[in-house]
Amino acid sequence: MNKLITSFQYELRRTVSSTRVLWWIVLSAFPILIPVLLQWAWNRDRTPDFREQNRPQTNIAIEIERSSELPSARRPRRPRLDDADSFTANNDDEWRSRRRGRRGPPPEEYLPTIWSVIFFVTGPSVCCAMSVLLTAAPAVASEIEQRSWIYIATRPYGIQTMMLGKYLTAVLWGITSSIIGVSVGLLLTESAQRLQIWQTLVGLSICSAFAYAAVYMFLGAILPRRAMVLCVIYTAIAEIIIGSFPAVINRFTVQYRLRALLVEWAPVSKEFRSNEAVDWYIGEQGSGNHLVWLAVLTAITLTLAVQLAQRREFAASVEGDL
Amino acid sequence: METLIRLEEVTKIYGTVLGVNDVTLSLPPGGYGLLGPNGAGKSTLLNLLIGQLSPTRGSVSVMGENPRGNNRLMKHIGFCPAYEGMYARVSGLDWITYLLRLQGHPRKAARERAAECLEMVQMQHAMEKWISKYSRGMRQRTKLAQAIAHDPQFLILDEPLSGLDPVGRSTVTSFLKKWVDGGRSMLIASHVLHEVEAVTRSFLLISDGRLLASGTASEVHQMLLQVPMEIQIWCSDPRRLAASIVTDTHTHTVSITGSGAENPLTVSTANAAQLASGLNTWIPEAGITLHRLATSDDSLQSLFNALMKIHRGEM
Repeated sequence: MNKLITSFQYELRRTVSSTRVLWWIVLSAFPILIPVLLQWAWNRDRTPDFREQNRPQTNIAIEIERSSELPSARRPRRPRLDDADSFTANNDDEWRSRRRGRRGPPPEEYLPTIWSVIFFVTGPSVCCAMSVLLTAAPAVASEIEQRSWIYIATRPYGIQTMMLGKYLTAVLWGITSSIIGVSVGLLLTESAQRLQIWQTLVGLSICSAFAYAAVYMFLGAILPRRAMVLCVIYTAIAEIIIGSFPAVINRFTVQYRLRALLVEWAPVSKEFRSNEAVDWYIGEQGSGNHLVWLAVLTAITLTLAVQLAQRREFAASVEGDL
Repeated sequence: METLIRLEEVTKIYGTVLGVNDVTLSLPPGGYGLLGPNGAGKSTLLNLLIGQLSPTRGSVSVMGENPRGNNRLMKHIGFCPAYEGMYARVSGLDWITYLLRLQGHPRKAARERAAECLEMVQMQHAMEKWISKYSRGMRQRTKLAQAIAHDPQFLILDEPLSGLDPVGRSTVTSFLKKWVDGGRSMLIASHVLHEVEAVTRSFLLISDGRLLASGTASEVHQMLLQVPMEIQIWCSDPRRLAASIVTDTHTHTVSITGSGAENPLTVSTANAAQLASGLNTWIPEAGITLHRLATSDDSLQSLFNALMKIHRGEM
């Protein structure tokens, strides 16, 4: 255990660099900027002045009528309103109602659901996974490339200790960036049940960091020289595309389990929870089942990563001097 | 510990490249030099000994145990690779302390021991600086310090003197000599004979992945003298000297370029020692003045080439 703590502390200290901190800040900004910008856009739509300034004049319909009689070359630019809009534009109340439905802020009872989903996507799914990818994927490659591997490999349990130290370092970077981003983002947004949303996202950030770090370390150990590329391809194909398939195959992805836990834990609306389409994306298993699945995936991939790193032959030779 | 290293018909193949070819060897504890030109298979052999590679065929045993994945054995082996590969943004002291912590040393003891080892290689003045600020010689000494820090029984060094200035070379050489004289074991790989000669008197000669010969320094020198080599002689009358040299049975070829005294006489001989003693007789007898005598090729490389020919049955 002492060796593991030493390795973790050492790796953590080594990873603290200006570039890494900058990346950490950029990734942490995702769950802050996107929800804040979204809320700002909603609030802007809700401002009465804005509505008045942008309310279509009744003569638009008349212009459309007249312009249709002119030759095409002389026609003024057609306003971007469909027939129904132009027809109903004369009715201010109905127009307001339609505009509210399209661009205005969502009803308050839906805000916890919406924020939970938005913060889940920006926090545990993007910010946490990306942060973990940057640290975990090159775990083996960085040591081989800078040829420091041999110094660790010739220590008792050196590779195992180093891999676990790097794993914990990646997890810490991922968790902190996601939790801080989500926490600040939630503070800057307005919603009911923010504490419950925060607790859910903290839990999901932890699950996401542990699971993704193990998966990325495993992929990095399979193909060290192309670790980042392999991890990005895996994320795009497996986690994003396959994870979004409305089919059983999506259950083998981390995203599916995290989504399911989100719906289990977050204060999402009953309509959202009972939606048939959502069922394909979250399943009907309980949160315990998803947590066990994530724990097993993490344990298996991490063990395989360590074993691969231990067993593969990364020779300590100068190039061309075998 | 009766046997330090035991290799039995060890072959290591990387894809289509033969790293080590059918090497059988058994060495008692002691200090050894592993000599061979670049690409001879020295590093592959060392990697097999530290368990980083597993043999394609045959078996490797170090201090009675298989080194591959052997955590217990790693406590007793110190390894210094030929390349640097140290973390740039940490101090030498922190780095060696970390490596000692991985060996299981408590924090305080590890730091004290790291400082002590850096002092042994005369790095005490720079041990708190980042490794990226070190010169090549300083990095070489730091590498050596990490190899000896956990007080191993068997030290394996790959080109430990390369990049060192004369003072550093002398410091490290005397340190390694003390190490061997203290009764501990060491295998030092190099392609420079005199570097290894200053540390140990026992040698293993390897080339093209094959173990060609082994012996003491004097035996290697004797071999060097018996190896066919090319010698160039600048003298007052090269044609007359050439007439004498061709009478020597060990002479392969004699050639003269041009006719003046400024042009050398080139002699290829199977026995340089025989030729040298012959010159001592022929030059005074013929009244020739000798201006200069030089070998045109690297003697150790010639030795390896000759040994390879012997190994293939070409000589």
